[in-house]
Amino acid sequence: MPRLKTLLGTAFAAAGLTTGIGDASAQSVVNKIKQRGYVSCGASQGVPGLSRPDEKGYYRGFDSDICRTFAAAILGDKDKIRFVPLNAGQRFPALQTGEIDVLSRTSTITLSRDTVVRFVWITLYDTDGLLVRKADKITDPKQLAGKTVCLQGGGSLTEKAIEETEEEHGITMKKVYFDSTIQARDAFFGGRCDTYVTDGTAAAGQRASVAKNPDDFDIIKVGHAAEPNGVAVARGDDQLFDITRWTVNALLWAELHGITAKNIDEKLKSGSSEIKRVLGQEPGFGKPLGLDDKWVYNVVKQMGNYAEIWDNNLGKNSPLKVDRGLNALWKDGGLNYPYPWD
Amino acid sequence: MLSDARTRSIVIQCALVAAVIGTATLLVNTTFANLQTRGIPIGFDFLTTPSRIVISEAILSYKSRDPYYWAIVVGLANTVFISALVIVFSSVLGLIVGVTRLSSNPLAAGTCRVWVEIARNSPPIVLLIFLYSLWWKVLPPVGEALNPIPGVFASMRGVMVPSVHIDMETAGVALIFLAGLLLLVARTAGALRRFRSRLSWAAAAVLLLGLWVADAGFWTDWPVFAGSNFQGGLELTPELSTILIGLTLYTTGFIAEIVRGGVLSVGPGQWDAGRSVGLSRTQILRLIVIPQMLRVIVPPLNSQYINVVKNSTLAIAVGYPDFLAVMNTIISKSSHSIEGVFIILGVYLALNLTLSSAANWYNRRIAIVER
Repeated sequence: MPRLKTLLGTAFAAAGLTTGIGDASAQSVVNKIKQRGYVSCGASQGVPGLSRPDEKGYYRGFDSDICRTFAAAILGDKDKIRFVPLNAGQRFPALQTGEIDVLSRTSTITLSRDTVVRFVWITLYDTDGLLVRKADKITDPKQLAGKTVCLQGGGSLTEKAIEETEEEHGITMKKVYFDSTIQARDAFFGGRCDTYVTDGTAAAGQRASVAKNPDDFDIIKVGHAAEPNGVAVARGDDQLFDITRWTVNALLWAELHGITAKNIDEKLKSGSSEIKRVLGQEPGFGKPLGLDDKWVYNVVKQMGNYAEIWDNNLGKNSPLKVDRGLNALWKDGGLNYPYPWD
Repeated sequence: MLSDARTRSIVIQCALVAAVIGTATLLVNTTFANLQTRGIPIGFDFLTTPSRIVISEAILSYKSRDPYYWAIVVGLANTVFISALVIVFSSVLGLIVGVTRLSSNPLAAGTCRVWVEIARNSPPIVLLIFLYSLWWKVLPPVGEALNPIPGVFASMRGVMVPSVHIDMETAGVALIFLAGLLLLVARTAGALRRFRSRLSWAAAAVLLLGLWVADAGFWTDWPVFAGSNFQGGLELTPELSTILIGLTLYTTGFIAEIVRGGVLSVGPGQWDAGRSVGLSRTQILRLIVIPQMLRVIVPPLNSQYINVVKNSTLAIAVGYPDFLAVMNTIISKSSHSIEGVFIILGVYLALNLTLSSAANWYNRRIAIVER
């Protein structure tokens, strides 16, 4: 078989040449972001109040605005950002494969997820909520026996909440799974299901902006999880991790010190030495992160502090009017707390 | 040496193979290196761990604590189920529509023509989304379900029909198997050809005896409206119905065209010959035209069947958990995307290779019979 031998020999030689090539160089995504001039951010396919494009295609919502703060921190301009709409199944692979730089899209932190991507910070403490019609008079999850529930599949945690409810009350529900949250929501409002389960704030958003008459619907809490929703980056990129983490920290810190988009210039002059340092008046916290010293100033000047982002999208300035609850600062009875700068 | 055509061809082929293997190795190596730097785990171990995913409807029994591999099997069974039904329905309808298009009745031919044009010129996903949205635009809420005939209810939650349950013991099942075996023997044994119908009767008798011995209990389960949903009976969900109806309408359009081409491929002399011995139009079709056109239409029909399997992935658009939808969930839940994609590719390849080898076998068979 001389012919076969030649063939195999050549093949192995060629194969040997190519092995060894292809080691990916561990360059931080931050450099790539600076080179290409925009941050690529994973967004949802349309959750009012959290992330949803308006009629001009401009993404509005809490999660979207959190992502803009990263663009403001890294590139000094909140609008140097591109949003990539992703469903529940796509979001983590998109981050792992580098399709997006940051994921800011109602993703609950769990062990299995935190071991494939890297969660940076809890930006939103949420619960699971059931959207029901008031006419059906459902006030308690127990009454859901035999009811049909629409939900977005893809391994989201609301599935778990439904499962828990079934086990706890010894009931079964008919589940209809959809690939996207929009399909699930439309199926519910269309009448396909008795209820639609999603995150509590998302349910409030859908009721406020999608329902024809929001007063016809109720939201009831389901499951026991206080869902900590976070911002995530890919594993193995410490620089991006640090920047995103300290950007969220800057938002909480600014709220704690009463620094807003409006009064920031004033505070820069009159504030304490810490404020001056964090805002980049004196050489401070830019260099360790590989950023301009004015990065915190850029973030708060352009996007405001945590409270402002909350109020604009979910709170009192929005149709949703969601209570701060656990998302208030610790001094106001919530769970949010900025890490110290030093 | 290179002037020798044979040597030259060997060298060129070697280089080609080397290039292919080299590229493949490069791809695999780069992938693994990149996966490692991104901390993505690789391996098929996860398949045996409990999946904790939920599949909204399945023809096989499934619970969320079943392992991943079973979830995959359940999804695959749904895909095979959908594809098989669509293939059967669209073949029958395609034959009718294709032949009717050649009919001299302008109304019938025109209707079939419109069907074919709509099916062939609209993207299947648009058709499916349109049909799905019809459910709650056309049908009433569940409390006011239509009840066209007793036991059948249609609402935006789907169509409920009574279901039939059969209880039987092992002996009965064995006898029924035996009856099936008898039928098979009767059909295949060429020498018994003349007795085939009598043997079929005998087989049917054995079958009934089997059911009687098994003390088969037939009972029906009627859907009843209870509170907010129907209980009992068989539920044809809007999701399942939409994908079945949509894909059948779509595929029928293509099969009808293949059938029409097949009928036209049989020369007009065959029709004349049939008429001259006094056969009706239906008889000519059944006895002369269809047997001859099979040879022509089986290969293109086969690619339509493969398309059905591929198009069944559109189930994801209407919330039916087919194989791909289940795999998507598994990938996102387990983060094993590379392995998941390999499973997806492997399964569709296996499905379609099975389908085409079955069609090729059939094609060879009818070809031999013809010549």
